Amino acid sequence: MSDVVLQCKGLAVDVPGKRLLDGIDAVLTRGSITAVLGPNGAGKSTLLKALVGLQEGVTGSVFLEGREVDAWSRPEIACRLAYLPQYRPLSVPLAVRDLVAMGRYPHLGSWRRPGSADQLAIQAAMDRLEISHLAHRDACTLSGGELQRAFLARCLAQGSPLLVLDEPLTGLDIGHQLQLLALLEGLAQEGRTILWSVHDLRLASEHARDAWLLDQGRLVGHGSVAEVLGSPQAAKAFGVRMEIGPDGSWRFLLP
Amino acid sequence: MGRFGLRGLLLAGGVGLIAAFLASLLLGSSSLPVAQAWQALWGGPSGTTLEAGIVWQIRMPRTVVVALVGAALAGCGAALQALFRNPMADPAVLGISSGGALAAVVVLFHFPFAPLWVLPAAAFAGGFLVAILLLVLSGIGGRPTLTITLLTGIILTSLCSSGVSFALLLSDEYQLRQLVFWLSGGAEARSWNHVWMGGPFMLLGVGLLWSRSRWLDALALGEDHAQAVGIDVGNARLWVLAGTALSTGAAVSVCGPVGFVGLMVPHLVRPFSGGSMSGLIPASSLGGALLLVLADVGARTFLPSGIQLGVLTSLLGAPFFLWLLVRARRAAL
Repeated sequence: MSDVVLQCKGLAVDVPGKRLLDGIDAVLTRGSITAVLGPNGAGKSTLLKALVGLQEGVTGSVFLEGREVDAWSRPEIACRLAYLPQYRPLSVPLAVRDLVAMGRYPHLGSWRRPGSADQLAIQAAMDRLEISHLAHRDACTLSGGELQRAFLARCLAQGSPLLVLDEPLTGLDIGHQLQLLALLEGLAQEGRTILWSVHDLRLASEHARDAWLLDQGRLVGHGSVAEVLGSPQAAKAFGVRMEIGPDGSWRFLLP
Repeated sequence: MGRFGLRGLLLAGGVGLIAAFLASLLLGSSSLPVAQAWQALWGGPSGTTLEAGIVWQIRMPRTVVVALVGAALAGCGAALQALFRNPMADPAVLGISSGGALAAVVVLFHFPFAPLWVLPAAAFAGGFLVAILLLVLSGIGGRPTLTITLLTGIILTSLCSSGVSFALLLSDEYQLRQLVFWLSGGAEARSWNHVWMGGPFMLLGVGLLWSRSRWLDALALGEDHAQAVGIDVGNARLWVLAGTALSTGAAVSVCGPVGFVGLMVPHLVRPFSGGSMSGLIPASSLGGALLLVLADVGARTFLPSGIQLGVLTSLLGAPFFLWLLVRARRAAL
């Protein structure tokens, strides 16, 4: 089996009057944990949406497990790729367990009732995100962090080998951020591939192995996190100086 | 929000509906005493007495029609509120009710002596046509967003309402009376023909929506979330609109436009049934049937004779709509 899980070639996104992404070539290998970095408006969310086949105005090619993403049906994509959209509060009442159970939809189709394997996957996902005690709560009444964990549990319940997470740390306190990052590292060690966008460069430097750097819709750097953060392109994109301090951690300074 | 709560709700709603159904058969504007009506009911539909005729050929089909219309409109309301992620959505908002009404007005105006089945068939076709127009027009220039679909629905409603107003302006006194009576929505003189003509479509439409509960649950979280769990959003929207058109078109065809049922009932049952559509759609349908049968009994028994069902539901629904608006404003503060 090829080690390449996701690949894009010449990916571009156009909306009327504007090019949002231009000429993106990138590859994700199995078991990697890759942070998508970039300043505000660089195109991080657009890139993730284009990679999972949800963005309009896309040209170029995206290959999921060696096949063009558009050639897969939506349930087939969802069985291979769990996508967490950017955080948005809920407007309709729904029990947390029902929300997490949606992760099993691509495996069930329209009619099949969840079996014991599905129930186990739902419960395991809730346990890993520590939301089992909220199972019967209305998701509308959850705090932002709790709701984000419920959405992440939905992604885990999906059981897909690739997770594409758009700002998964939004709304989480520092304790839950670190727990989630440890969870992502554990998932990568189990062989799952993780692509996540993040604003906090310090957390990215400590928890991602690889990074893609976007600036004004172009992929201006990729490689290990240390290589990307230490590059002049990163300093230019963020407008800050980045250097490794005496304790080995990254320091970010105004120029 | 558990299953036990939903089962309890469905059981209570079922018992309530049976009681309301019996009340509707036994009570009415006719001077028939309750005891005689009860006797006629147990005498079966083959009875040849006047009492049997009133109970089995007038009150029974009327009650069945009213229950079916309430079930159809409330089930559609629940589905549309999920599809549009908007608590104000109901079948009337998309213009489907107005499309049915316009088609029916055209029939009443131009073919006043057409056979009985022409009116419901036309209203049904009008509702369908608006649903198809909605899909086509909202898809011009790209994938239809929810806002575009909703705005297109409002435009189509406005267009159909203009057509109805135009027909009213052109009509003579007799036609005007007929049109106004039909447009105020009611179940007067509904026969078993109306039941057989509209009932299967109403049930089929709601069944279609219920069978797509999972899609609706996911769509209620937003298009991105729905697609992330493997739902083809365009396809899902098509199914939901088709189910709604089928059910609402049939309801309008047999009862005229009865407003606010699809808006009110899902809000009333949701605290008990939970938000999951597999429970909310049947609970709403049961609640809609109950509400409309009770409203019809009330209108016939306690209110001045001649008040139409649609007028009564609007009287109930308008303050409810205002309350929803105020609540939404407070929540936004």
